[in-house]
Amino acid sequence: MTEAILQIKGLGRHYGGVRAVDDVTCLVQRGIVTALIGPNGAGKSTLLNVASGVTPASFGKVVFNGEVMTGKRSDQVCKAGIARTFQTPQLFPNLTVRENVLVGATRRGHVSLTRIALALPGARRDLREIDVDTDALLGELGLAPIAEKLVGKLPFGQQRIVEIARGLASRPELFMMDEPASGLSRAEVEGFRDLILKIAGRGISVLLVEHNMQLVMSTADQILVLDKGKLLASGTPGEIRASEAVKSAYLGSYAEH
Amino acid sequence: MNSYRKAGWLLPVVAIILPLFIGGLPSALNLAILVGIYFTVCIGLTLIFGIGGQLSLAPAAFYGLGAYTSALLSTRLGVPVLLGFVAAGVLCGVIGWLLARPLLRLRAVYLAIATLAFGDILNTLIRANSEITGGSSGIVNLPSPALGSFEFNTPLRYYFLVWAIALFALWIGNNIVKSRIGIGLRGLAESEIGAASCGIDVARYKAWMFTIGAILPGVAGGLLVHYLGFISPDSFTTQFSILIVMILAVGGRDSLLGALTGAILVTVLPIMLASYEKYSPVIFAVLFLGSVMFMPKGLAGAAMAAMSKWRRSRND
Repeated sequence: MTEAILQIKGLGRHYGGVRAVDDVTCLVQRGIVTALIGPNGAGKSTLLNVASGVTPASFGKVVFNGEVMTGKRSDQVCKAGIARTFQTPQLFPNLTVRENVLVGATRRGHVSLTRIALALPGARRDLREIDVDTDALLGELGLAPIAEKLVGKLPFGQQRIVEIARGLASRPELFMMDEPASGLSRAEVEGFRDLILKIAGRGISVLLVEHNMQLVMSTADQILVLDKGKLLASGTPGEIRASEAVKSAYLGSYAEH
Repeated sequence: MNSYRKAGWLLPVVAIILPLFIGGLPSALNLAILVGIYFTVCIGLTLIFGIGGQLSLAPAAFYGLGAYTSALLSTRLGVPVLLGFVAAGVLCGVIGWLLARPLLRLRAVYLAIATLAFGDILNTLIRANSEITGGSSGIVNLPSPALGSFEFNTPLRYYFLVWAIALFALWIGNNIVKSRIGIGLRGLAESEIGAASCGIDVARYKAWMFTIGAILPGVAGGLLVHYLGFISPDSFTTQFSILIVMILAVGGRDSLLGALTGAILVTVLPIMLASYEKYSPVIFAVLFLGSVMFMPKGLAGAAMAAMSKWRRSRND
């Protein structure tokens, strides 16, 4: 029996009269890949934004590892151990790949500004220790050859991988990815599938918001289906594929292919 | 990176031996002192604007606040000037810290306008409270700073005082720029959402830099007026903030080397152009527009790029 790493309890986010997320209650299990799917406008990205502190919740709670996340800012959510990527990558285009990943390791820096500004003991070690890990991470994700390139000059597919690397640099327990495959070529999506499985293989729980059903079906252990802001179904990929409600709301087009 | 490290020991050496060459020329020494003072102000703005991306036009306000703090403390209360400099830095730092959170919620041009307004309010207050500040005519006969019985009362002595402080500020600035926090600052300048998702407390980072960007002009303002021996609100108008932004634009806003390059250029150029005085605003405008359009990283950035290109071509 797996335990939940993330509990979403009666969560809602309203924009004026629009209920982008409307009373959603669900669990994200530890150590597996959970996919969050649903038609456009179902509230998937909003749910992710609320869970990561980018957008405040209108009501309800998000609990991570027993700690309430709702009401926290996104830097605090990151510090608690949740990493995320964005539908449109929120990278730093004029920083190098290495620097982008270094910023990702912010959570692990413990030296204060005063210490750094006055070069007191510990200040040098602060960056050096993170630097070593960054090299290892860049190597592992195949980014070492482009480590000194500016991220803004990389092809889109590589930018997606840099954003993943930046998230991993914080050593998260939960990694939330917002449509990581959108805008990627078929071959790049294949590569991404391996990457997601590798991340899960390290014991990091993954919450994957994704439209590409091939990617979802080949990586997810659990699937949550959102529709019009509400949780429509949840289950294993097999159960979801078999569900009539999901088929009529969303999967119709996929099932026909 | 490498060139940074070289500049790290080169600059103090140059600063120490420079008076051997210009020590006998009061006008050159005078310029070197002004460069040091401007440079100190610019280091602050480089952190908040050049690296952190927040266009603040508050340098003039803190420059003035610091200057009046040490001027008033020394003339009205007889506080030693050096202690007055410390008080100027502390007061500016506290006010900077308090203003940072509400101000830095604003972005881009809104932040620029709000910081500009802060400066104008301060300037008006100084002019209005003439019984304390001397109003528009200011205060004359400001004492020189002294360390025990050693007075910084000659240009040469003042030169060393100014550059000791400027180099200390540079050292602090450089420690921050090359640290994890410095990289994070450059990141948040490009995407605040991205930076926050990496665990960066964006508001706090900005507040820190705004505070340092208040302390440094505060101390520099004190340095200026006790060098000149008088203070008046005319030295702390919006124009000064614009000048500092211009120094960063021309020299290169994303590095401390750029701030130095710009400070030297903006101080020395008017002297070189003295015989074309009529045209100097035009020449400055062309220089400013030219660097903004063709050298986004300023003269220092362009020079660095040219140097690494030359090095690469030699290696091939």
